[in-house]
Amino acid sequence: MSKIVNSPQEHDIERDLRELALVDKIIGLEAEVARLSIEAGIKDIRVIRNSRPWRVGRVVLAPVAFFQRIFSR
Amino acid sequence: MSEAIPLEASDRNIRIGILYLPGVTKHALPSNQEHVSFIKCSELSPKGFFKQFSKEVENSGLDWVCVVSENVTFTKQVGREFARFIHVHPYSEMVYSDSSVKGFRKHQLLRTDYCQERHRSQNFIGPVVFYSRQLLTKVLQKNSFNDDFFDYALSLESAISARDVGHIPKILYAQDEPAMLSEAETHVVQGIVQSHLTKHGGGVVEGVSYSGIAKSKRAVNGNPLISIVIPTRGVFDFPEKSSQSYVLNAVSSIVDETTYENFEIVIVFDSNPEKEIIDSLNKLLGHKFKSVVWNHPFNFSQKMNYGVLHARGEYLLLLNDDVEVINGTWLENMLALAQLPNAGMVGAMLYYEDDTIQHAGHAYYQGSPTHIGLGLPRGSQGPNSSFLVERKVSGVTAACAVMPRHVFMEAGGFSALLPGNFNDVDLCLKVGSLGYDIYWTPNAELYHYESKTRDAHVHYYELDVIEHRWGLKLDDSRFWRGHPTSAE
Repeated sequence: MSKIVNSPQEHDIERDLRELALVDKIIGLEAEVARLSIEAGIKDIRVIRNSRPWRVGRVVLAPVAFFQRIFSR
Repeated sequence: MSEAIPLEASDRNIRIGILYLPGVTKHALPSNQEHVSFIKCSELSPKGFFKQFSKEVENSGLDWVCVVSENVTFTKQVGREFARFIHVHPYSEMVYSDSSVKGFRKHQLLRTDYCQERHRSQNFIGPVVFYSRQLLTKVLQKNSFNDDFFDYALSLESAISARDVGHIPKILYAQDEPAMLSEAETHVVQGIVQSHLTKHGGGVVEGVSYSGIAKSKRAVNGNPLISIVIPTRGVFDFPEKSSQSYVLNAVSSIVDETTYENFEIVIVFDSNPEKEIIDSLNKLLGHKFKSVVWNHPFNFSQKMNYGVLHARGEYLLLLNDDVEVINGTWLENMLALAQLPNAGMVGAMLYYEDDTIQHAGHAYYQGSPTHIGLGLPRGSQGPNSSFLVERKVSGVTAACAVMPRHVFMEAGGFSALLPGNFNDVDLCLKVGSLGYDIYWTPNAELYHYESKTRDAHVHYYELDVIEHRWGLKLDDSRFWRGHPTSAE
């Protein structure tokens, strides 16, 4: 147990410390969930871009994309 | 109004009027792009052009007005990049971009995201600013501006009214090397910034340098109590000088230098602090001293949280024990920024013992948290004079940081999962994720005697926590562009 000088409300401090730790854990978990969902999205995009239908589609549409780029200048 | 330039896809076009201010001799239009048409507005008469400017904006039927205050050469992509940006950031009513310097291919003026506090010290957004016509109409109805430094006064005022100020982090034009001001011009700029501060929140401009940097500061509201929380071992740290300790040096410098009077100092000792140190602190501080003892195993974060919970102040100053105050107004300068609406944290300029910079804000660069300006000599101005102006940053070191108490509590304080390292990085990222702004000021200077060669042992679990929580946020170029320790 911590020895508190000049402060009579030891139990309040202990409670507040636990509360701080809890808030910290919640924010930390929220951050982790956000990071994981973004990473999952990036992974999904990578999988789609490596798939055969995507690659075939790109080859088929390459001339269209080329002319689109030329005419949009 | 003249020279409407035809475009493809005219139905969906954003119509941008280019308004060259008097003095600009080169009136080249940016090339039109898909979705964007540039229209050259009438030339403004050299003197008393405010009314004509307002008329141009009212009559134009434009969506946006691009105000150009210097000779610039636009790149080909300016229209496309602007259209893309507006599509992604529909709430932006004022937009600026990066630029290069003519004749110096490698000299790029990479700007940071918008910061009102930086803007009142430095016209850092450049000579080309896009305003939505709605915003300009609103601003011009309420204000009138003089000819001198019209662009600066207009942008300062507009940024207050804009829903959002956007920054396109791409080079969209080349400009001349920024010019030095004359003596008379520095007084004009001082007047503009002073009236802006008086109108919006208060503050004072102490002077303007020839490079256009206004030494301006916010004023403190009221006289709130600041609790300075210092963790320390509470022993004599110098074996060769048995009467000296870091914490005594730090507290002495606070007492000797600080001009702000309403503070208390909460010192969190490890178990068994030296009695002589406590006696000396009592002598130095009297009723401002509060001592707390932490009897648990070492955990910097928990120790700090423990100290904060014993503090009574509306504002907290988190401070290491191995610091020494340099300038007397450090506390009020930090407090004034911490009192800004939405401010979450404020950091200071820290120097090592050998007068090199230790900290001019945190930068989260390529996955690693580091200090801006680390190792540069004291007096360096930094890229775009960044070390001379108050500005937003991604984070600041907790070796010296002011926070509103409610923000500390809302963020859950320091994380006990990070007992020795990265606890300040984590706290800043939590504060940022809650939507608060973090500021850094050069107007609070301290020495930090943390050894430059300190081998702080980083535990794998600390790396793990910081990486798992904030992995993607450790690459943040919003408030610092380029390498954190680049001098220019």
